[in-house]
Amino acid sequence: MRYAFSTSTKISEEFSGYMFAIATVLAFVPALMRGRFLRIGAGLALMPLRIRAVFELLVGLISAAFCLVLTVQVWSLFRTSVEFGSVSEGYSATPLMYPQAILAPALALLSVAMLARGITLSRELWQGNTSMLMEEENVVD
Amino acid sequence: AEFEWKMFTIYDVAGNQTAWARGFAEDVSKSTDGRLNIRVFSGSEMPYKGVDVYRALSRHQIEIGHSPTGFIASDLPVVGAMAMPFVCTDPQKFFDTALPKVRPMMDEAISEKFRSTPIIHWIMPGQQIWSVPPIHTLDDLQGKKIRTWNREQVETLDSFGASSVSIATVELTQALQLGTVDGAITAAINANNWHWTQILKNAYMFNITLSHEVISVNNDALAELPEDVRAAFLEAAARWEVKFREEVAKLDEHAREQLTADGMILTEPSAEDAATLREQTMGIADAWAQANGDVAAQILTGLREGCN
Amino acid sequence: MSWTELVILYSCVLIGCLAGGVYIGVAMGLAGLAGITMMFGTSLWQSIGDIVWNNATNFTLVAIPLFILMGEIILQGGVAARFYSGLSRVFRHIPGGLAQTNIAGCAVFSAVSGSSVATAMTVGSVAVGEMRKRGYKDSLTMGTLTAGGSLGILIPPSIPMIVYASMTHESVIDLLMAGIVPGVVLALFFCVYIGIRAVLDPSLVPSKDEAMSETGGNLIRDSLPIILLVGGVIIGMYVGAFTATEASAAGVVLSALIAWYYGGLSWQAIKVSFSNAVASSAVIMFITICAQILQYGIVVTGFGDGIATFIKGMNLSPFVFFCILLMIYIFLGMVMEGLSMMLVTVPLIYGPMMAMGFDGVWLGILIILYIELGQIHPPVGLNLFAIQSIAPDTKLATIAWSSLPYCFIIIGFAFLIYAFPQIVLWLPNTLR
Ligand code: NA
Ligand code: NA
Repeated sequence: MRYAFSTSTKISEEFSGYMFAIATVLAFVPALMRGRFLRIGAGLALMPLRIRAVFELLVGLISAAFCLVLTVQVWSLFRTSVEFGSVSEGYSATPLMYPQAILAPALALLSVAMLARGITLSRELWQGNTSMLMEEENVVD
Repeated sequence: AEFEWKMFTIYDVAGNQTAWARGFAEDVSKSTDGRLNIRVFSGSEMPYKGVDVYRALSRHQIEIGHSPTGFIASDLPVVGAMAMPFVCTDPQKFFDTALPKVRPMMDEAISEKFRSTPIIHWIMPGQQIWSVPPIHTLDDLQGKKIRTWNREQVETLDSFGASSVSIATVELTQALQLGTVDGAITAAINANNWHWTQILKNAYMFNITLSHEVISVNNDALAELPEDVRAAFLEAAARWEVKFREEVAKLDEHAREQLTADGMILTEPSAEDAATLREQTMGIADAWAQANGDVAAQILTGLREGCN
Repeated sequence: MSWTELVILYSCVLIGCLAGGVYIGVAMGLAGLAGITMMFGTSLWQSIGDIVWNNATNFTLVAIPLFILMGEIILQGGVAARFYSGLSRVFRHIPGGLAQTNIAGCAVFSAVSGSSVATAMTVGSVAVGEMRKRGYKDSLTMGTLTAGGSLGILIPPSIPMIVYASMTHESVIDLLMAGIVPGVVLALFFCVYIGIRAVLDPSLVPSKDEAMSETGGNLIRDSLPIILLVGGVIIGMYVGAFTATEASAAGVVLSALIAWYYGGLSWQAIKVSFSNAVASSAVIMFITICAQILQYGIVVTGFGDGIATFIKGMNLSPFVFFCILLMIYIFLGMVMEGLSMMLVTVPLIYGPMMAMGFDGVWLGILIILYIELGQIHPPVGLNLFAIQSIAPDTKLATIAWSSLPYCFIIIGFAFLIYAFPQIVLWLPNTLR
């Protein structure tokens, strides 16, 4: 098939790369919200609830800040692509700014989600409610 | 040292090109009495692909960058003239007559676009067709699946009934071995580095293009240097441009000898085939010049005049 | 900053963050960011844009979610259950029972996939539920998957081998051939270990009666779909119909066809497969991106250079050097992901080791082994994370403990190939 439609598969190969990038990056937030982002919970599990609440807030803040750095830098890459009119080296010569334009807001969302999750977890734990931890099974006990 | 610079080359740590870059860095350090130190990073050590090098250079993520113009051309098409089939296939003429004609135009374009100053121009020797089934004439190309690097090669092959396939460089050797593709276009140096005598025996040695490469330095970094250090740096660069040219020629010769010794059959095209190929692909370069404006046309003319 | 200060900086940030419950990716990324910032201020932060973009669109990584999707379709479509009931008849007589099939399955699947994460996750997504249903303990199952998955980069095709070859100009063909014998031998060692373990602790596997009472299927009929699937992909790849990366896409299509033929492919099954595959790859992708930030930090700050110069200055004998290298990789494996380890170390050690008389192909296989080791030991181990991301209700600690014995097997195997380099070099030398 590759040979019959050599041009179109060449382009589809490249686009599958972009699709993949966008799909995974868009999946960051739902994965985080479902407690799928991995961490080592042994230390947290040892803490009294209220101390843990403080830690969860810190984790949220630190993670949000880190993701903000990613967001800003991907945005700046996007700006460079716009400025240079950069196109992909592949056969399609796709302007890179389009896929990159989706990446930055997706990361910004992740940043917000990190913060939101940290705050909610922290508030719930402070109030003694541990139900949110159930979804992060690796963290409990 | 007073100034610590990062130099990025797309070549790998084991590549001779990387070793030459280290030699250049050492020379700079020596001739500036250790005031300017350049640390060389090879292809896999930094997160930049070929097309990213000049973008990184313009944003001062690195002070010196090295990339083939084929990659730079995805941001700045006019520097891609050397990728046109048969524009210039004689290294000697390229350096002696063609480069002096086009260098100012190319340097200005790069400087304007990427806020960087080209210091060294050089070329990788001619690119040929390497194949598993024998390809000794243009007719043999009919129906073959050949891995290509750029649009011009796709068009070139199309005109002879071969189909072009895009496969990532890292998968290429395996794809040739498994028969996913019949052949690939590259230079003898690469064919030798990738141990291709293990998987194929045929090389059709018409030089379609020379790969033109440019090493540049970020303008802010260059401006920051004191007068004497800058002068010493630029002198070292000039010395190494000559050295790079000599070393590449030696390496190419060595690669061909090695390949032949290992059983590769290098077939020169017949005069007739060479003429046909040249004629049929002439239009590709003209169409490119038309699409990319006056400077592109001037560079193309300069190269053609200088090389013929 | 000197390299000793950098060691302290990287270790403190990483261990502090990990212990404090920071997400693993964030911890790695922050450590890298800290190194870069201490050395260069914020001027090099821009490279993070390149790292995110180039990793997110990396074609070799595209294969991973596709393989996971393939595994999910096999599972959701009911083909997996059929496969295991077919095999259970035969395997109940072998010590370790179906746990052995995980190693065998990984070894066979390795001939399709070039990544250990993809191997572990594909086989894992099929195996975890089925093994649990049949009464196998997680503490046995999880290790077979993480360790079995690591075979994915030893048996060709292999992404890290191709990367190593392109960095060092060693022959890709020689390297890929060199991985076959060690891959098969290592798989046998794993199987022997599982057998011994099951004999010593029978509570790990279902009792004979339980296994007997199961309505065992027909071996040929029920395992045929999987054999067709994997066989089809392998053959397609080796007759040149598609490249190693495209094999993943071919696998998805084939598995969907097979599941549809057996009547298990509902719309619901497709939806669940797809959403599980995307979530799992997002988790792994985030860690991979962040691991690259740490790698960039380590390279650009000259940390690796510093250590290399220090070790070179000690004038060690080849064997001592080999042992120190093992320690370095164990240490790096604690904080880094496999491919990053290779990208950091190979430029530094390749030259000196060639000068000492080591063989370049042999070294490649050794490094692949060390990468496997790093993938399955804590705290950072991509295979551990991969398996946890498809079995989120299992504690990371369970997976890590279950994988630990295999670390010792791999280390032992590294010494074995040091003593008998022919294990690695025999096949490529014979075929040349
Ligand atoms: Na493999
Ligand atoms: Na590890």
